[in-house]
Amino acid sequence: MKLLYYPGCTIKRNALEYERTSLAVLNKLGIDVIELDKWYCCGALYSLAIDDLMKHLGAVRTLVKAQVQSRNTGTNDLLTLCPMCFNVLKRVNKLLIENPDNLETIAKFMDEEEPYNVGVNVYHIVEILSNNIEKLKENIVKDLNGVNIAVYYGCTLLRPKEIAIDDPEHPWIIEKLIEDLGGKIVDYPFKSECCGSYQVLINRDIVYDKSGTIINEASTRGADLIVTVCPLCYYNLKITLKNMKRPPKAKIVYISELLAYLLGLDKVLSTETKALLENVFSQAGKNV
Amino acid sequence: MSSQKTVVESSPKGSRTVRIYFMGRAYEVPEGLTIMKALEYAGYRLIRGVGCRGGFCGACPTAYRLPGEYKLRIGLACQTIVQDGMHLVILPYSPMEKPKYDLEKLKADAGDVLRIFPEVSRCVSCNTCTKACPQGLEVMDAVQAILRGDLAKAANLIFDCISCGLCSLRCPAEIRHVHLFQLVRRLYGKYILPKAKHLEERVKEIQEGKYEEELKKLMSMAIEDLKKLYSQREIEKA
Repeated sequence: MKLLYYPGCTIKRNALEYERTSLAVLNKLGIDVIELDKWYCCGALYSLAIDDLMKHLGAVRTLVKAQVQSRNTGTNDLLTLCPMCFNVLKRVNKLLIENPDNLETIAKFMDEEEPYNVGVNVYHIVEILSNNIEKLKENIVKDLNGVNIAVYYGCTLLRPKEIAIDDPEHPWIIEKLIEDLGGKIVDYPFKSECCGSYQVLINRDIVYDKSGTIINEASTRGADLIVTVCPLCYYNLKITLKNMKRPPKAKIVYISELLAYLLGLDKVLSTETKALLENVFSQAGKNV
Repeated sequence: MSSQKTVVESSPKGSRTVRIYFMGRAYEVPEGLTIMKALEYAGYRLIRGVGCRGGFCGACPTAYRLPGEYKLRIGLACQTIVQDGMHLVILPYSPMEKPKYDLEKLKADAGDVLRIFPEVSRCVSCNTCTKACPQGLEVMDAVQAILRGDLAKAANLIFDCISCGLCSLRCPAEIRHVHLFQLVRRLYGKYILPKAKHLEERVKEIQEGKYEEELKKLMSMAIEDLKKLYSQREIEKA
């Protein structure tokens, strides 16, 4: 299986371990990941102004580059790790598929690029992992038994529902993945609540409040680990946990870090993450 | 425009000419000249908007359109040959203050660059900057590389920038490329490129006063002796 890969700016700046572990996990599953030679900022937020096509250009240009590279790689499937990039790229792709007049306007403006034929499929890594569950099962070397795991999805993988990777009200795709690998799920009502998002730049208290509620609820219900997929959620949850006066036991990791650990890919984990996971796994075993 | 009808006819008799429109006014000029020479031929005395005349200094960026085209073309006046029916203007300066910063206190990452040039995050990848570059650089790709913190890639993409400012004039995100790129090249040179050991050694020698005596001797020499010494100097050691 081959995938074209769009990293996005945040992955390359602030979420290097998410990228490293994700690529290592996919590699272990025999998936060939090819980073686009050229890619551009997706815009981070999908522009809702219907007459402002300019804001979509970065995403369209990336889709065109994926189209160009699909010819010599033989795949139209574009992998994303960051849910915000996934959200923007998939929504722009949808806009172009459904509005040929917008596509034409953009094609005329970007006349230095080849026209986009709306043939690229945008995927998030969770979808890829979910489709390759059998391979994951074959390759895990560590036992998940005993660790209580809560999943935190955040917003942009699930909303709007037209591009969601699962039911936006009751997502279970990551829980199913973990259950299939033998893990124990802690269900709780805040897994698609907002973490505070970009308020981290403006008013941290909002983030401490929103993320604090998420962490506390998951912990109260017994979570040893909170698994997430978004660099911004991850950042917000981590700083909130650090800021708590009486931090609960739950620890925060990317799904790819957990999977890398289970697959025995210890060398792609940072010493800190590895120690964190080893600690959680040894403690959980004893408590149960 | 009425002024376009007034053609200044000043070409030598018998030479083949082309008609160019400089800021809306028509001039008959000999073919084969550069825009800069054609303007001087037409009687302009260029004080600003002219520099090295060799395509390096970036002082004479020029925007023009050719007959029947909507495409805005870009070139340096000292390097671009006049064409019949060309409408043009020299745009020698992009207005912007140079931000002050202390290179010693900055890190070579996107965060520090974005604090000084926050408008970089407004880039929508329209590629207008790239189309505006007389050097044919991938300006947008450089801006995008900065955004994701890849200053090394950006610095290499814009190594040949002549700071003409046309990209900054055309950018809908109002990015100040001229000073942005200078900062990126400086950060790259200071923090990313490997240090040149021989340079460090030489600087240390200078600071320790190794050349003081010889310098004093040169300073007190008669000008004729100095000239003689200069012409006999060893240019490169074998």
